[in-house]
Order: sequence, then structure tokens, then C-alpha cells
Amino acid sequence: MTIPAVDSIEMPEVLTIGVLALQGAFIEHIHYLQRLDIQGHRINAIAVRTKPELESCQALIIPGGESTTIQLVAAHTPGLLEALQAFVRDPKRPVWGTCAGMILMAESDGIGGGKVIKGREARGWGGIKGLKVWRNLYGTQLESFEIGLIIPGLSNPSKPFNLIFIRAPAVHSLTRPPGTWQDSSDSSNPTPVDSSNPTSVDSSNPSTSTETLCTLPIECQPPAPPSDSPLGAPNIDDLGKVMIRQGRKMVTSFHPELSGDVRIHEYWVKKCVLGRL
Amino acid sequence: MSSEPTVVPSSNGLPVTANGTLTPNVIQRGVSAGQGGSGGAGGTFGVKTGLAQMLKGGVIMDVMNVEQARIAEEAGASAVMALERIPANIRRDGGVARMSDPGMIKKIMEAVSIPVMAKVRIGHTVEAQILQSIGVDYIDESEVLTMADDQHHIGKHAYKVPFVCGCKNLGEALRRISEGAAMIRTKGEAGTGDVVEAVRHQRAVMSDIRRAAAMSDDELYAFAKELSAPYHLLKETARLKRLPVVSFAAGGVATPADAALMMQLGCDGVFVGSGIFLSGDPAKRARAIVQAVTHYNNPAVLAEVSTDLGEAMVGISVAGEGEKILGGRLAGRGN
Repeated sequence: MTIPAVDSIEMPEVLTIGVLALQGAFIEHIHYLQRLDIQGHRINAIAVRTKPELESCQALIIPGGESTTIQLVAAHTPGLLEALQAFVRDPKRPVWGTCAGMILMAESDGIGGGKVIKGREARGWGGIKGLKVWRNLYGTQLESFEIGLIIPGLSNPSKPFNLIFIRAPAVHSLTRPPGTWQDSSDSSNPTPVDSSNPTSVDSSNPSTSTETLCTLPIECQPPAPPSDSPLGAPNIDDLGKVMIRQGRKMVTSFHPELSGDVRIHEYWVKKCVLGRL
Repeated sequence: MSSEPTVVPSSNGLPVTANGTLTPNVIQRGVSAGQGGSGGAGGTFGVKTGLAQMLKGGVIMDVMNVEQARIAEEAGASAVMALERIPANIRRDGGVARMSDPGMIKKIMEAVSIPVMAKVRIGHTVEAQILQSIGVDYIDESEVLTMADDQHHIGKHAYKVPFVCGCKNLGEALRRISEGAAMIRTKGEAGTGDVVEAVRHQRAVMSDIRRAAAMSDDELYAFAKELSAPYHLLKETARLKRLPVVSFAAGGVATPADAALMMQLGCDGVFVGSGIFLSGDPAKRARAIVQAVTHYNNPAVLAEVSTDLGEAMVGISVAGEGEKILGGRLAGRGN
């Protein structure tokens, strides 16, 4: 099954794609974007540290780093945090979050894990509807790992992609807005999981249709987080989902920008930014 | 999208697919991630350098207890260095400085979500084994502690936990990387609050990289000999026009302006040791240094964050004290 193209929005010939550069591995994303060869467009990749820089962008990448640091620096930079939240929530704006960026793409009450001081809970920016994440669920640096997996949908799909997980977050649960679910990686069950709603792919509203693009093999999946947290019970079937797309938004809990392979950047620009089939 | 699961061989030959099915289906969740088992590979150089990449553009702060660790995390530190005595106190106290109590390090690991680093003495392989076994995220093989071996550094490739090491120049940086360091920092002169040595070391590294980048292959062989550095690492450095691993500033950074200066000189991030918790208002200074590292090229922001910070650490002038400096010149330890 193929996800429908997102609403077509005319993108200029020169695409200005911002990479949030408050802290973390932003320069790699900029270098990878510069290496892309996208027919009909030139990519102008810029570092975003201020509100005016964000406003000049058609699309945004939120890189890996420390989510608490990125959040705090954004809050201390005048006007930036509010502008970022608005950008991330606007369904017309293409946004991709990697690792720490995935944490920040969660629902506002959708961040769990970590050592939280009451009243200072981390708040997601709400990029992916229904997404709750658990920080560092894979553990400390000793549990960081890499694995080569096939990701259908990339160019040259038979070549495995090297997924690098660094103290990675995991999906706690991905709730399914009625009529908006499909899961291309769940090949054993091509029909929607929600059996009460047999026509659950709503092609008339592609901005909220959700697609899981890559799931880890079970032996690499993290242990389940506690079920008595403020996030509610985790969904065991969602824990291994490491690459998710919802309309123009995408998240990866691993680091494509460290892999030496630009195919996921290419995928995001073509599918989420340009809305190509 | 393909509806057929595509099968690729995993490291132990079990077929693995991107949709999460696995044959035979007997392996349990989480048993091998990061353990180098059947699914993923942990402790690879890519995984070890990967964490350093995530720390870039950030500030790593020395903390001596849980309360300070929380202040650092809330101020936006991208990691903390857990140690019983910050370098200025090591200078004051004299005597032998060793690895901190593992119990104290574990308490800090339990208190914060950001990565926790800890220091071992140069060449002390057993202190490193202990820190790896308690699960710290990074080990600093540090000249700030007393040397345990004055001939050998730790062979760092053998460990799953990554190491950061100090350097004064390019040759020393490449020797440490050759031994397995996944991250480099300047040595500077820790515990002084005087940034001059960190500036000297960073300028020395960058100047030698610029020289190497302009050299022919024949010249690189001779330059490698001159630096006492492995040729292949020098060649890679010349190609990249930067160190092949993440490199931070350390040793004497005390103000937001110091931190931004080191960033402008080409560092990827900054360690701040004694400078924060020996100052008048640690939380405010910590926040200001974090902002300064992000906005290091924006003088208007730097002016704002440098305002009303209270007293900086008193500091010791390295040039003024010379070799008589309290506690000695730490940067000379290890080469």
C-alpha cells in the first residue's frame, strides 16, 4: 500500500530547508541536504537559531542532541519557542525530527521517561498527532547500538540502511485517530488494524494519515516502560516503531545523519516536502 | 511499499526484516540491543563517536553532587561530569587525585536524564573498567587527576564505553584517537579560570590542521613523523580539514565570552569545570554559558547573557604564576 500524496503545495525552485541549530548534530543534516540531487529544485540548507531564520524556511529538521538543552535554549531565545511550536503544528509545514527531535515532535503531554522534577515536565511541540515517546528507553550509552535493516520505500530499497541508535527514545504509544491509519511495514496485516473501521485509510485527509516506515526486529526492541506513568499504559506493538510519517511530518528515533547514507533525507524531501508520490 | 518482507542477513545469520518479524521467533524483546548480540552491534566506533556528535553545540559541566547535577541539567547542560572535587579544589588540596567514589557517580546518574561522564587517571585501566561496569556514558582519561602510568595511556578500543582525552596539539590529539578516544578536548589549564592555555592548545591544533590540509602526500608522511602521529589519521584530518572526531574546549573557561571565544576558534562545544560552581550565581552563569555556545557568533546575544552574572571565579593567572602555580601545570601530564 502506498500513502497518498500530501496536499500539493507549490514549492519554490529554491527550497530553503532549516535545520534547528541550538544544540546537537545539526551540521551533518545540513551537509546531507547539500548532497541531495532533487530534480527541479535546488536546496538551500540553513542553520536556524532565531525566529527570523525560521520564518525564511519552507521546511525544518529538528536534529539529535539533548532535548532538554534544545527546549531550554529555544525558550531563552526571544520568540523562538512559540514560533517553533506553531511551525511544527502547522499541517502544511514539512518537519522531520531525529532522536531528540522525535521527542520534541510528540504531543504536548506525550513525553515520558527521564528524571522529572514535578512541575517541570517536558512538553512536546505536537508535530505528530497521537505520538507519545519515552526518553532513553533503550538505556545508557552502553546500550547504544547500530543495525542494518531494509527500509522499503527508500531509493535502492534492497540495500540495507545502517540505523544508529544513541541513548535513543522509543515510541510509547501511537494512538490512531479514527479513519487515518495504515502501516506499510506490517506486511502480514495489510488491512487496517482498527477492524471497527474497515475503511481506515482516509485519502481525503492525507495530512493526518499515519504510516510506520520501519520497525525494529523484536530482539532489538526496548523493554516496555512502566504502565503507571502519567502517559498511561504503553502499547507494546508500538515500541519497535522507529520511523513514522504523518502527512508532512516524519520522526526517526535513530540517526540517519550519522549513517553516511542520504536516502532517508532524499525520502523526506521528496515525500514530505515536495509531496511526490 | 512492498508487501513482501525483505530479508537481510543479520550479524549472526538470522534473517531480519524491517517489519519486525524474525525467524525463528524465540528471541525476546530487548535481549540483544546494544549488547552486540544477534540484533544490533553495540560499542562500535560509530556508536561511540555518535554520542559525542549529539553533545555538540553544548556545554558539559563539572558537578560534585546531585543538587549541582540538577542545577546543570535545568540550565541546559548537554551532559555532566561527575567528580568529587572540581579541579580548583584539587589544586587547593594537593595530594593524589583519583577516580571518584562509584556510589557518588551512581547517585548523579540516577538524578539526571542527560549523559553522565566521569574521570579516570591517565593509564588506570582498572578505574576505567569500574566506570564501565557502573554504566557511565563517557569516560574522561584526564590529566586533572594524578597520572597512574607515566608511559602508557589506556587502550581505549577495548572498551564499550567511549572515552574523551585532552590534547595540547594535533600530534597528541591523533595519538589519543589512535588509542581509541572517540572525542577530544583541549587540556587548557584546569581549575585556573584562565582561558589562555585552552586558546593556545586550540590554536595549535587548528594551525597544524591548516598546514596539513595544504600538504602533498610526501609532505604528510614527513609531517606525521614530526607530529609522532599515525599517517592514516593525519591524512584523514587533512582531508576533513578538522579532527576526525568531535573536539571540545576545556581548561579555564569561566565566562560566556570565554565559551564563545573557544567556539569561534573551531571547537564543537565546551567543558566548564570549576567556572560555574565557584561563581556567585551558578544557575544563572550556567544558563548564560549554554546560550553563549549556541549564539557564539551573535555579539548582541552575548552582551545580553553576560550582563549581571555576579562574580566569576577568582582564578589564577597562568602567566603570573608560571611553574609555581598552585597544584602545578596539569597540561604537562601525559603526551
